[in-house]
This record gives sequence, C-alpha cells and structure tokens, in this order.
Amino acid sequence: MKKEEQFNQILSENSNRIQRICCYYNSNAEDQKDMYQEVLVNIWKSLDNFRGDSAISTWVYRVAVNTSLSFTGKSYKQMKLIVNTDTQNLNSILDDEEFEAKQIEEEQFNQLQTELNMLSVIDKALISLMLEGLNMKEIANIIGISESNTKVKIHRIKEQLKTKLAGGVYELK
Amino acid sequence: MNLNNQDKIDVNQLIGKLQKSDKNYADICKALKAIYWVLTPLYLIMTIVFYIDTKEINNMLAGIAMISCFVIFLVILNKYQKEYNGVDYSLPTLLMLKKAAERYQPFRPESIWAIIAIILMDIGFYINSFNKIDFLNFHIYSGSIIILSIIVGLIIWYNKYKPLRDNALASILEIEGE
Repeated sequence: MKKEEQFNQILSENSNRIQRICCYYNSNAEDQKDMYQEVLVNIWKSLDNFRGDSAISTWVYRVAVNTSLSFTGKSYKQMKLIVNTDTQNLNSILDDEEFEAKQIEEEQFNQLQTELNMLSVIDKALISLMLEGLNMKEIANIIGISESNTKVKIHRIKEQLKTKLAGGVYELK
Repeated sequence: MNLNNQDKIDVNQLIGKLQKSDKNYADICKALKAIYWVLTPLYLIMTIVFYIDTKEINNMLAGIAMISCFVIFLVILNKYQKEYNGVDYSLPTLLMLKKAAERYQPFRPESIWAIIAIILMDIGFYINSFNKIDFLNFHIYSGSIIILSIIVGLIIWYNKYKPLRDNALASILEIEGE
C-alpha cells in the first residue's frame, strides 16, 4: 500500500480520536485545528516506522500525545486540559451515581476543570488517555512505563484531585 | 470539532505539501552530498597531480587534510540526514522524550568529529598558505572565526533548543519518578 493510501486509511479510521485529543488540549477551534494538522504531519513523518507491533489506535494515540507534549507555537507550561461535560468517560474520574444523581452542576464542574488544569503536563496526558477509555495496559504502552507504574500514577492523580475537591460533592473512584 | 468537506480538502492539500517537503529536504541533502562527492575526488586528483609536478610533500599533506575534512563532513551529513528522517513521534512517550533530550544537547559526542574536520581544514589551509602568511596571524583569524561560530551556535541553542531540552528532561524526571 502506498504511503498516501495508508495515511488516508489511518485518517479515516482515527480522525475522531485525534480530534478528541486535540479538544482536550485546546479550547478554541483554531488551536484545535492547528494541533490536528500538527498531529497529521507527525503521523506522516512517523508512518514509515509503523510496523504493526501495536494496534493502530494505540499508535495514533502515541503520536497525538507526543505531539501535545511538543506542540509548536503553544506555551508548553500553559497547556490546558479541556474536559467537556459530554466527555464519555468522565465518570471514570467521578463517581457515576453521584455524578448522574446530581446532574452536572456548573460550579462543581468548573472546580474540577480548574484542578485538572493544575496538573502537570504528563498527568494531563495520563488523564486524557483515561478519559478516552483506554485501559492501564494501553496507557502504559503509550507512555512507555510499566502497567503497575501507570496504575500508581493514575491512583496518585485521583488521590490528589480527591484531596483538592474534599468537601465538594464529587467522590472519586 | 468536526471536519467538514473544506477540512477534507485541506488534508489532501496537506499530503501534497508533506510530499513536497520530503522531496525538497531529500533534494537539499542530495545536492550537499553531491558537492562533497565532487570536491573529494577533485581534490584527490589535484593533490596527486600537484605532488607529481612539484614533488612537494606539503602539497600532499594539505590535500590529505582537506580530503579527510570532506570525508568527515560527508559522514556527519549522512548521520544527520538519517536522524532527521528518524524523528519518530510514534515511539512511547518516555523514549521519545529521551531521544529529544539527547538530540538537543549543546555538545554531542559526534561534535568531536566536526572539530577534528575543522582542525584538518585549518591545517590544510595553513599548509597551502605556508610562507605566504604569518602563523600567528593566520591562527588569530581562523581561531576567531571558529570561536565566533561556536558562540553564535550556542546562542541559537540557548534560545531555541535549551527550553525544549529542559522541558523534555523535566517530563522524563516526572515520568520516571514515583
């Protein structure tokens, strides 16, 4: 298969995935589009190295996360993690029952959003992958650390958020 | 963020641009290599011819120094071309960051070879201009140019690449830490 065809196939199968990752890191449409384009450029550059050792979705996530860490034109430390209220796996951070029972209260959500943005770039990357519904093994595979280390890190992030949101309505799993 | 037809057209344009960019870079590297491939045998022939004509060992030594310099630069150019083509964003994040930190070092082990090549070029030029220019003056000029080049390189590195390296190192530390 020609590089161009392979690229188009990856794009048609993973376009939504890439768009979601871009939305996690950018609040305005223009920046999302810029990052989307940057991810596509990096997919193109890395395509020759794809040997099918991992699932194509994992491979695409790697490129997207790595691009988010080195996204040119954006201030590295000011990178924000934007979580939308319709994010499918938000209940993996927040307790489902509490979450649904209380509906989504704007100020509580904002508080969570603020706390998520206080996280380090790496922690944001871990959370964004968790929000995508990836399991620990897949996340470990993308970041390049052991599964147990990934579990420890995500547990620590949850604990950190739990402490900061203590007194609030949210219960963290 | 949803892609409409316009965005899909942009993606097609992007592929065209990427292919063009790949081709342009490959063409630049080919042209640079071609210069070295032409210069090296040309200098070799000139060195041999001059030596046969003059029987002067200095001419031969200068030629050997210059040829060695060209060969080293050719090898370095090959290595950097491979490295550029090898920047892989699909590596596990930790590995990608480690490679980036290594890539953005101000002085890399292979810099030694570049320095050796510059010294050889300096020797070659000096032998060629032996008896025409004072040793001290020659090295004040050539040394100044080399030091100035290093300073300019370091300023560019400090402003452009050091922040990237610092960020990569901080992220590595964070990922590897418990």
